[in-house]
Amino acid sequence: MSNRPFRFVHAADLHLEEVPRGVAHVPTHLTDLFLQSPYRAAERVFDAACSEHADFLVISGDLLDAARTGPRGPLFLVEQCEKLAARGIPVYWAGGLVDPPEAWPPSVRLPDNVVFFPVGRPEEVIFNRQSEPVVRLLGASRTQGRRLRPNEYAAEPGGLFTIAVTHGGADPESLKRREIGYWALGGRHQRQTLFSGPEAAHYPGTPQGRSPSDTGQFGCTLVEVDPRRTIRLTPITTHVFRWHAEQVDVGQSDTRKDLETILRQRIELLGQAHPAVDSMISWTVSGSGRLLTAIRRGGLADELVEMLRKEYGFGQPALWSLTLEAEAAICVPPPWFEQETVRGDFLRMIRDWREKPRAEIDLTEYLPECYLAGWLSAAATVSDEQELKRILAEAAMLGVDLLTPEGPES
Amino acid sequence: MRITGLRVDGFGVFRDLEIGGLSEGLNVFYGPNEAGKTTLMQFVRSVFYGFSPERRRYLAAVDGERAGGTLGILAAEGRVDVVRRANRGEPAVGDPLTVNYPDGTRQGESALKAILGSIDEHLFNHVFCVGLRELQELGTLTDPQAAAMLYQMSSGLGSISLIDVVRSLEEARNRILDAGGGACEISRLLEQRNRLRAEIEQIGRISHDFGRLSGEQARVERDLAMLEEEARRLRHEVRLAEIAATVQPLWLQRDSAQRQLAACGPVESIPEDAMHRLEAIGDRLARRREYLSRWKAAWSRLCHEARALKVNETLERLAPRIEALREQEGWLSTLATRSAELKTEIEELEARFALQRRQFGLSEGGANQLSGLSTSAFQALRRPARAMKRARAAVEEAQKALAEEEERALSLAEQVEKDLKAWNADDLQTALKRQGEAVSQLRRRVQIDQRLEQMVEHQGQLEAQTHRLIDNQVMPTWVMLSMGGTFIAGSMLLLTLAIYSRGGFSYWGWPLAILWIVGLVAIVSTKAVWERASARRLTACRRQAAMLEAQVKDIRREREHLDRNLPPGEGPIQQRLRVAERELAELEAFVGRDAQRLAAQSSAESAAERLERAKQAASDAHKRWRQALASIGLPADLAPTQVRDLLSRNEEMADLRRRLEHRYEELKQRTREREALTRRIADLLAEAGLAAPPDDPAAGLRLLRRALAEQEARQKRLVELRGKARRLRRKRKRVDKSVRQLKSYRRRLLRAAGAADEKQLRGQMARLAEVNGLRNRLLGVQQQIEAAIGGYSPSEAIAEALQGQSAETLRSRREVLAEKLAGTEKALRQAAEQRGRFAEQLRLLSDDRGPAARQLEMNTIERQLADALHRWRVRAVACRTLADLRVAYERDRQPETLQEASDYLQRMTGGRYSRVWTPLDEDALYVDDHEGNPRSVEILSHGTREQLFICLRLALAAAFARRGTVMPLILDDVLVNFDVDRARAAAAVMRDFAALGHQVLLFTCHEHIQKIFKALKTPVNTLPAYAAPRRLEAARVESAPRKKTRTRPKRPKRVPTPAVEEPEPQPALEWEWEAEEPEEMPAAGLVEEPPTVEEPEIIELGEEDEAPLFETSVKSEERRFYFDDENERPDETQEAEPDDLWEDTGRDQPGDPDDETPAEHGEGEGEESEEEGSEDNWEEVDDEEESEDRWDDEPDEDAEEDTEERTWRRSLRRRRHDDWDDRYEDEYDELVEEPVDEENWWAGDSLSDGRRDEAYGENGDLGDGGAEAA
Repeated sequence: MSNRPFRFVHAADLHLEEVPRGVAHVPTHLTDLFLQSPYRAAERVFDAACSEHADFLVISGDLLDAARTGPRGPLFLVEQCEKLAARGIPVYWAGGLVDPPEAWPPSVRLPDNVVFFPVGRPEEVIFNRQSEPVVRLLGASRTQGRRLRPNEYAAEPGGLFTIAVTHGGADPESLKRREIGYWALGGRHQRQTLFSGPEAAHYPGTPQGRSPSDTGQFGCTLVEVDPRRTIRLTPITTHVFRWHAEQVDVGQSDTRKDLETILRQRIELLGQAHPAVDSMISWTVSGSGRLLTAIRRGGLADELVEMLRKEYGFGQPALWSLTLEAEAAICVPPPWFEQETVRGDFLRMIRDWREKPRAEIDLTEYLPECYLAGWLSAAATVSDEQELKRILAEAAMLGVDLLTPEGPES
Repeated sequence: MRITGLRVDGFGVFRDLEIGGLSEGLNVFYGPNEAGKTTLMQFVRSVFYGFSPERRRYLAAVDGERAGGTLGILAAEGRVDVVRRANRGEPAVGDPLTVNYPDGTRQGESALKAILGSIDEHLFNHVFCVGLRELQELGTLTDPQAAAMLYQMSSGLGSISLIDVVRSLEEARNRILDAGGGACEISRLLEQRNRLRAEIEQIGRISHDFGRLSGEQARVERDLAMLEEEARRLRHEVRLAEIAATVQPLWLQRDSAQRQLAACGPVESIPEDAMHRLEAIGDRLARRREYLSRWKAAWSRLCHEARALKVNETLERLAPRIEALREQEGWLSTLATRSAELKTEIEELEARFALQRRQFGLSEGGANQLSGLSTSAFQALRRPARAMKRARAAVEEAQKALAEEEERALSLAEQVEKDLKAWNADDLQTALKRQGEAVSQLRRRVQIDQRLEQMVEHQGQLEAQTHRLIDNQVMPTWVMLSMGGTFIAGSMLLLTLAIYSRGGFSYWGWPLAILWIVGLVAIVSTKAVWERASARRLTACRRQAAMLEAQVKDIRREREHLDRNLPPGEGPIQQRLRVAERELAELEAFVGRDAQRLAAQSSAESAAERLERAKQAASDAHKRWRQALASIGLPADLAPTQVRDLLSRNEEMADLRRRLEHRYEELKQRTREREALTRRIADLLAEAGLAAPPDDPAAGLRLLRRALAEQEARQKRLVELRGKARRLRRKRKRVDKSVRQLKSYRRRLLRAAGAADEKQLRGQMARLAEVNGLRNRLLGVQQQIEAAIGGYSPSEAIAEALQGQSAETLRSRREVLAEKLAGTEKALRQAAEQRGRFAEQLRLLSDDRGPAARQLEMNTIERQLADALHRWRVRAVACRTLADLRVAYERDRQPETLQEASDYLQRMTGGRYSRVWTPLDEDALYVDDHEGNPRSVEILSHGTREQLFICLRLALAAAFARRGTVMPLILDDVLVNFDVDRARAAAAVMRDFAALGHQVLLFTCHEHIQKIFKALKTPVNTLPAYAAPRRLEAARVESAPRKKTRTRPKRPKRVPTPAVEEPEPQPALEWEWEAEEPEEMPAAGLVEEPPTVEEPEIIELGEEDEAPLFETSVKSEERRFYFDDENERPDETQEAEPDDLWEDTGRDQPGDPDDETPAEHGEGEGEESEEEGSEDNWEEVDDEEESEDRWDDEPDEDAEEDTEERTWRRSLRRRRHDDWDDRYEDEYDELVEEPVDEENWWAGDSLSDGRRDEAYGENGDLGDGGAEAA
């Protein structure tokens, strides 16, 4: 069997139904961008399949939740698939958690170039070029509550290059043992390659970040397989705007003017580095000094964010500052912990709390009775270690601010 | 930690104030107002915590460099000094602080923080260092405020109330999520979220409508597809009928042309330009043959010229050596010039050296010997020189003393003689005796007068007393009457009793009778005694009067006798006595001057003896000096100044000598080098067979150079010819190759055409032209048919449609089909319109962004909710922590402090108040009286509140001490508002508090408080009184002199800085006997520092002799000299004599082994020559590297040639200048560069062989693709 080179675009987790989250206030001029971002990013995936002259497009689950998108999602998908059909590019789609085959509205008919893998055992599809088989695809949509079973996927010894299309996670070693040429996986929003070499297993990530924590590039992956079955993965950026988490250090002697200068420099650098897309920036100020105290106490942070939004938030591209917060860390001089003062005792209690293993905070006593039976009751108990440490750090600094008339000096 | 002392360099009213000897317990300082008590307290605060803006006002009148001071403290690390200076320039920089440890190490703020531990400034100012203002500030507060302040004092919170903090946190928390269930941020957000959820669920129903519309649209789509298919089929049939009718005539013409072409049979494929190419190859071959004939002629000329050139091989072999010598040509002339210069310089140096030698009277050998003297030899002169200096100084001093004593004795003798003349006495003792007797007589005379006057007065008194005694012999009348009356009254009473009693005296009668008798006896006896005593006193008085009269007479006789013996004089006796006494005093003073005269004479004699001894000692010292000079070989008549000059110029002479030796050595070296060069040149000339002048190496060198240049010219030409020959060979090879290539092309051309020769090729070309004409005709018809069809249908379908059909039949069929098509298209339009309506409705549904917008809004609400919840969690955790902390404070820390405060308060108030306490859940402070009744602090009296707050501070200080933080307690006038009893009680409490190991520094300006402490046997230190700031300077100046009684005169203290940094005063670097000439000292590197240090005022406190706070000191009167260069400062640890000449100047001495020595010179020269050699080596290496690089660039050279020759030839080749035959070169270039494309030759200019084969096919026929490619 001769090996013929081929290339395809691998995408996953398009989540057309999910609009960006984690933003407390969306400005009017960015509302349309936020609402359109899942569709525009998904559209870029389909456009990439055309522009890159891909042989086919592989979608590894979580394309859309039709119940939440309304008619817009399915119609959009049909339109994009028809666009590929016009260029003779087939689409191989394995459903994920939100898009099982049964969730597709029966009134919307997918074009013929779309192969929707069923739920259950993997189904085999052969991709032909000029009536010659080029690659073998094994795919299955994900069943609710069922994990990925690598044993159900088997390569064809000495035969065609095999691509496994599915959604979910599994042990990389177990995937590697199956000797599948390429595992087209979905279910992780961050781009990740489990392993690569003769075989590869890859999550392309979601085409568009949806929360401030989704920093970096998002998109799909162009997979190229040469006659020697060497796999080459090339990321294709599809996001329509980026999330940035910027950290700024301030020192003891820094003034507000200094901080403003730093912020301006950083945001201008961001604009120069990403001139084609809008940016949503979350600022974290770390370091020490009175400036940090002023930011933590509020007021100054709002003024700085307002200044940044006014100067950079309405340009092209828009550099919109979402938040400006002080770093959640206990930044006080170490001797304060040892002082025989209320502040010292307060800091020591916080420190003891932080260092206590498997600590848990139960704040139910401060809840009103009407919320004791609701979800707030669960929210009043903090057991997550990272969240607990963050809360304790902020509580420590709040206490230091209140117990120090002039604020912490460092 | 405790304070052992302090030194204020400049702070407030204080300058250079030092207080030491502070005890571990209670230290009371008394000083009037403006004495600086509060200033001292602020000074302590400033040293510990810096000069805050509030405390900087104390620095206003202080010089910048002196602002600040030192605090001596005894900490766990030992005794350390904390020095803080005020930074007057930039407050932001901070005030420099130094913590000096006993071992000399210095640290900064961190060390002080470690010493202070957890005590921050606020805590220190409100608990440990309290002034009246802080006390009153607390005392005027209400009880909740007092309780809060108590928390503050125990927690160091400053102006923040813990209660307020907790309350504000609770309010902030409740604003986010109200614990009472009221309106709050989270509840508002929850409402918004619920509303959005409902809206999103409502929007979900859109999907149902979408399904219905989609179904309808699918049905319409299916109908539309069927109609479109029908219409498409009909359109195809109509079009096919139209095409068949159009192409029917052309179809017949194509059939005819195909038949003719088939009749012509197969034809070989030959390129059209084959003949043209064959002719071009023939032309090119002819041009190359002509070129080869000209090449042979040029080659023969080149060989002839090369054979004519001859090369001297010996000279060529010697060329490198000659080249090397050429480089020495400049050096040869330099050697000659340098030798002449050296000779001139040697003469000058010898003349200067002889002049120096003559100046010091040294022979040549002596001068050489002087150069060999070592430092130790010169040091041997130091002691006799110093002895001679001292002896001379002693002589001068003795002479001066003798002169002074003689002058004094003479002056006194003259004065004594003059005074004796004035007294008219030859003998001072006689005159003194006479005047003494006169004074004594006059004094006796005055005494007699006084005695006589007293006796006369006494005599009068005795007479008056006699008269009074005589009068007193008769009893006074009132006494007599009283006694008689008493007698009569008694008799009457006794008689009455006797009369009226029956039968005798009654019960009262006898006692009265006895009383009467006793009274009578007493009266009689009293009268008798009275009269007898009066008589006796009268007798005694008369006897005294007689005796006094006798004495008066004796004294008057004595006075008369004195009057007769008195020296003559006028005036009253008293005046005469004063004159005589004054004269006697003058005489006595005169006796002192005479004694001085005698003493002066004796001193003059002693001075003369000392002068003689000093002269003798000077003579001995001079002898030893001469012996010392002789011992080291110097002339004995040299004076110390000359030796010093000799020393100072010895280096110069040694330098002269060294230079002279160096010049001699260099001259020898240069001479040797020149001779060596001369020998090398002569050897080369002989070897090359050249004749040259015998003693002129330069001429020989020039001759060699010229011969070598001629040889180089021949070599250069030979190399050029070789290069040309190589190029000719290369060109010949390329032309031959080109000829072979052209012949090969011609053969391939004929073989491809299938012809044996050129004639056969022409015949085949003519037949091929006929076949091509038929093909073109067939192709034109075919193109017309295809244009008519337009690619609409395959030719087979057209042929089928034309099969057996006439033109008429075809027309009627087309009309029928057109009618059917019109009907179908109408139905199709109606279906499309219906589909458009459905599509529009679906588009509206699909464009609805309502769900996404709601979802986005929901996300923002979720985020706000998460933020609010996070903030609520943070505040709740902070609340929880502070609440726990507050409970811990109330439970653990507060009772301990308050219990102790209660004890102190009970003692201070004499038991009137027994307890201080605060409720656990209230912000109130209460005091229980002796009956246990609680009282709020605000209703206490002013003094009681201050007592309470002093007690609280004592308790807090004790509490901190128990936890390991021991700090001194500094109280400034805190007892000022107490009455005597309260002050006494407070003093006792403080004394006992201090006795427990707490250091207390208490300042007061009230004398009664001072006395209270003194009564408690507590030593009280008195601060110096200072005037107002305007008078401060004067007061400071007045307090500076040492004669002040409280000033320690014996040892001035060293100013901490910069004197701490300064070295000990350095010994003066001078000749001892020439100290009067400081400008001649070797002080070039010295700086004289004026004495700017003021004498500090030192107050000795207490009887305990503490170790001095500052160890280093300098006398302000000293003139100190410091080295500019820190490295030149002599080591303080070395024990050097203060006026050690040699040690200080040793480094500059000529014989010092540390200085330049001949060995070092040799070594230096060696290093220099080695460096030069190294540089030469490097140059050689560079040349070699460069040669190798060039060698690598020319791999074609013969391996037999040595490196130098190759280098030389390459340098010539770089300047290639071919003058052989430019025209020949141009023609060659034209031939060689003529384009002969081996690859594309056969296929013309655009096709390779492979593509050509593909285009023409294996049989040479032109296929479709091949024709297009061609």
